[in-house]
Amino acid sequence: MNRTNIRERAEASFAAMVTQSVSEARTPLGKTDCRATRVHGQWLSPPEPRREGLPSLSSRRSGCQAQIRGPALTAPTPDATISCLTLRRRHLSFASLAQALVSGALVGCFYALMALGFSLLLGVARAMNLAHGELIVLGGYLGYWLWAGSGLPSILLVPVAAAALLPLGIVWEALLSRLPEPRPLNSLALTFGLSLLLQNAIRALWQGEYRLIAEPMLAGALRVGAVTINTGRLFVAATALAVVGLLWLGLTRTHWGRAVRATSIDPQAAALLGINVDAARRATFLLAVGLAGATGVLFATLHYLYPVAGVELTLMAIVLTIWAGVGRLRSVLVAGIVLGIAEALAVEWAGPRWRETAVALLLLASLFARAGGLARGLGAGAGGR
Amino acid sequence: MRAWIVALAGAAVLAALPPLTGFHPYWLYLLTTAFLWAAVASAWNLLAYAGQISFGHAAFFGLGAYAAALLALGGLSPWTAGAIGTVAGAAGALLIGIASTRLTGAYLALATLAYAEVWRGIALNWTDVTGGGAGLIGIPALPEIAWLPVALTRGRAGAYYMALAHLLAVLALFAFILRSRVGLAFAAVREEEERASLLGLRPLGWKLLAFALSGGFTGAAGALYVYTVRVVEPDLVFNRYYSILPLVMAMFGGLHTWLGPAAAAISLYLLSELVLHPVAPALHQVGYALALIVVILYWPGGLAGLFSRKRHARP
Amino acid sequence: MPVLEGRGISVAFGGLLALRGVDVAIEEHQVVGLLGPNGSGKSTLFNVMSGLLRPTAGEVWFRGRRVTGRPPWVMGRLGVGRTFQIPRPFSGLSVFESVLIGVTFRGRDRYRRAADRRSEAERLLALVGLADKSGARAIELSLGQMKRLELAVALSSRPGVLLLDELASGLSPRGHEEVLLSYGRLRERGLTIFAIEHSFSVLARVADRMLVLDQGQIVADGPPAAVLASPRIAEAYLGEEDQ
Repeated sequence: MNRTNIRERAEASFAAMVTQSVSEARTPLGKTDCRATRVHGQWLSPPEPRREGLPSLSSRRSGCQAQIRGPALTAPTPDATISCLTLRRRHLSFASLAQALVSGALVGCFYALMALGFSLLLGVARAMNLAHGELIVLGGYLGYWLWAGSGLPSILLVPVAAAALLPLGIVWEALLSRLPEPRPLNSLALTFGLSLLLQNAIRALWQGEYRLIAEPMLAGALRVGAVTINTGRLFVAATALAVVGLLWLGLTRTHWGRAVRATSIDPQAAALLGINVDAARRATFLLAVGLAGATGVLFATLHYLYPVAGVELTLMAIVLTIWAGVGRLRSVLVAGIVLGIAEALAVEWAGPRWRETAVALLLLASLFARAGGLARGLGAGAGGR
Repeated sequence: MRAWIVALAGAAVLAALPPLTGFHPYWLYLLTTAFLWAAVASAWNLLAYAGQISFGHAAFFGLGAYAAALLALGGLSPWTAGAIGTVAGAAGALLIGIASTRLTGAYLALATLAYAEVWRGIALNWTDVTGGGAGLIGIPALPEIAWLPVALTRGRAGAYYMALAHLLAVLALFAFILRSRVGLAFAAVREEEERASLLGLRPLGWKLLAFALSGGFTGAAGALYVYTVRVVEPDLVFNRYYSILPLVMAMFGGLHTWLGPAAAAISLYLLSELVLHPVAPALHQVGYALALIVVILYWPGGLAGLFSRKRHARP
Repeated sequence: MPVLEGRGISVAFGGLLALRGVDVAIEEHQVVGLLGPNGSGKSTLFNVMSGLLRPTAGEVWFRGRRVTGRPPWVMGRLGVGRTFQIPRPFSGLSVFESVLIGVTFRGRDRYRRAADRRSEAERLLALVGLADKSGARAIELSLGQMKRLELAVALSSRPGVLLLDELASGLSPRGHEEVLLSYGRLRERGLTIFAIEHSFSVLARVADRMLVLDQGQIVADGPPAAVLASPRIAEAYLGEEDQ
């Protein structure tokens, strides 16, 4: 049996079940290693089987079956397709390569936006915000809650969630400006504590349930040649680029933006130039936290939300900040796209299970290779203990 | 001198507690876990004494736990498996300790954090070996020791005394280190690594020693933990939260002090289990998080700072 | 053969050249002074020659062995000691412990017994006049005392070559006198000394040779009298003359 036949047969079997809730389905697949799940046209990393509310796909190496196990999908849509891909020992076709490039680049724009919030805080406060991912997830939950309650399109929710998180920006600023030396290390510990608080708050408000902003508009797909572009990703990428563009304009063209940049480069010199350094810092905190909120809404359209989803996001943001340098917009964008493409290729090749681990390894490698540069970016002596 | 007396008295009280309280299983379990945490906090403190702040001690805990679990399930005597678990913790620590050649401070901390995530990922995804998310069950408990009274080594009581012995071992080692050349080297590397280097110290060797000791004892704690709860899964032992807990406890008790971290660990743990948990079970992490924030912003000396300003890690 | 030598040392920090092609040769038992205005690269040269900094170009030789880029502990064990212009005490440790470190871990002449190590530490403290401060925390000392501790710590590793970075700066005239006495005593012990000072008068009385560094280059090298006599050097680089 060749691969295409297998896939077609599997999809045919599942298509028959599309209109029902899928609780368990079996399909013959032949001797393939099946590790990936695609639901609603999007890749999902299978979470631990004990988590409620999500299907998980598993297969046996020697057997001929694939199973979808788990409670019913919460919102089956007419065009839910479930397909499997073979693993490893296969050649990446040009089509799948191109697909990875495009999908990866699109999600990479999102990653870049995500990293910017972290990078801004690092630049202006010399503080590493380990709670960055949790802020994003909080923004996502808020966005979901508003979407589910009001039915507004998610594009409108982006600025709303951003605004809703602004009070937290004031809290973060109040806490992080009190940090004793050594700032980088203490900021790590402090924000770790804050991330725990946020996780618990999210759990208290929304329990551990998975949430997704599943707008019909976002579930479509465009076909461009061999490549399928998911409209949800396109929307996210477009919004992310728009926000980054606005940010760039703001930081370079406005008086306020220049004040912020000067403060992050050298606060003392900025003060001497007459810039209100405190106001600039506070503004940057608000901006960074607002960005996290906006990112959260976009994240909620891409990926299921769960309380500890922020960990991976924070790690990715740190990786990108190490690659691109502190507060450099263009570099972050490029780095984000590179990361997105690399991730897509890796998932094509090895499946999504090891993604979190791969990000952690990537962070380790990046720290090893570039920590010196990051420390220099923060200023001499600031990178140490 | 005073600290020694306190420690010995405390140890005696704790050793006498089970028979006096009738081997009450819940209390035994509670205190066993408290001792394990105190040991991990002290082990973390040892590494911090050498100047290396770790945000990834969960890695060593989990490595010890999984190694002991896998080997015990594979047929090895739990004692041997536990010993190998200790070695696994030490080896895992050495591996990331090598990073300390290039990374310091916040960057080393981040690296240890990422390191713990890597091991968690391996435990989660290498399903064939580790059982994946579901983990492993049916891990044997520590067997009774033939030449000791059965009541002291069986079941919960056995775990209690093992954990207590383990804690006393860590504290004894720390006390020995503090009074010896090793402690001097650790302190020198911590305070002024370059300067110490110019005086003839090779910093890497001492840092690796600190990592190995800290990781080994933490791995042993992990092994003891799985023998107590008899199950292991990634989120139980490689939990990110377990990386920050020793830091909170050690800072709360007084960084670099001898007894501070252990005392704070036991107090905080008992407080959270006995007071917070019944009241608001979902929020027990919140207590630690708040403790961490308070300690960093307002109370850098921790508990030990209350007792003596000049107190510096000498028993 | 010179004990400590730098050949063509250049150091670039980003776009800035801190040292350009510096040649320095310190002969055994000499006292060599290093002068120059702020920012001329003096401390950077010391960092290179003690192994704390890898030069962008050039080499460092110790008794005929190439030691460029070797880590500081190698230099320390070979017998190079250094003080720092802004004192770097082991904060949190006591004065006694600070000196004990070098005694305990140095590369040669180690004592087996802890009691011997402790007596040597006490002797060192007595040498610099800090015996009564033995139990104090190193960070609680005054500046003058800290500078003396710097010297004691540098001596604790039994170096053959001492790189002294502005021992006298920031001190009162009486402090200067004490530093001068120290230089003399060190010289009597047979140490080779390479000393940075900001003021010419301190060095002129003890140094066999003076080097003047300006903008990363050696611009004068000779006996103090000759260097002093050069009018250009005298007016541009000698800074304030102390009364």
